[in-house]
Amino acid sequence: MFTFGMLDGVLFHLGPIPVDHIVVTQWAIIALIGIVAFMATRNMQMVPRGLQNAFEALIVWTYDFFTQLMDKEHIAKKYAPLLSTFFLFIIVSNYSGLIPGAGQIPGYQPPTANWNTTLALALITAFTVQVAGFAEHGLHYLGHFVSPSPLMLPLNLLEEIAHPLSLFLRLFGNIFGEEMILAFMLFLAPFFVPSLLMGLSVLLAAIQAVVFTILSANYIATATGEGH
Amino acid sequence: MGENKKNWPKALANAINLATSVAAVIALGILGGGWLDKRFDTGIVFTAIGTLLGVATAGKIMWERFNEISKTGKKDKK
Repeated sequence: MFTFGMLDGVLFHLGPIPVDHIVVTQWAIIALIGIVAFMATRNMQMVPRGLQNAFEALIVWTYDFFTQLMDKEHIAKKYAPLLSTFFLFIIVSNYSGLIPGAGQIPGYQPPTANWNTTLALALITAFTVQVAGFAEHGLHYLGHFVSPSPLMLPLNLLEEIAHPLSLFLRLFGNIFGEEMILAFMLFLAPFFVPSLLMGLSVLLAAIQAVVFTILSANYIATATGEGH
Repeated sequence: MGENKKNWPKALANAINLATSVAAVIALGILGGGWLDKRFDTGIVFTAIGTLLGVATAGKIMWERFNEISKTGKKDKK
């Protein structure tokens, strides 16, 4: 049975796999994002209004942003959906810990405060970076591991491993640490101090989502760039 | 206006990437070396090698970024 990093509060089992609050919260977040996306696109008009208008503006801005960041428009268009999904999922996950009453649910944590979630996100990025590199440069992509000299192989490998590791640990550390401090402050001084910290958490949660997305885009841009 | 000033998303990404990569490679070198030392009971041999590798990789990353910024600066001047 897999119990790696699981919380105490296992809700039910899917075959041999225990399902806890974290997994259920992730399903709820995926459903929420799916429902909002469905509502925005279910009745598309040539002249957009309401939610469709907001989404179109957001998507145009997102494409422009990633095109500037990644230099190549075709690469930006190809990976913007994945990167935007990262951003949406992480920011909604981070904010889910701030929903009033969430702290009353026994064993509840935002999914990004659990290392399983952030490790999975970082591994998706690491896999995508390698796929993007091979898709853009073919087998020549392997050359960057021994560039500028074969002696640099250990250094290049260390750099490649450090990228997903830093993504995984930073997001987990920041959100988990923030949750721990909030819980501690709630215990010590139940109203005023936690309110201030929650205000700070709103900013921190958004910054972490932006940093994860920007870094993922930067790694893909580097793998698909001219230098390789 | 310089390319870096116009392209703020790229400048921001490069800055965050540099800061996190430098810290991550040094940490990975030290912790990875420490783990190998414990596993093979080799004193501080792998910790030393890991630290050196981490610092060397951090230097390489900074050197690459510096070259990239210099190239962009030269292009802007032209």
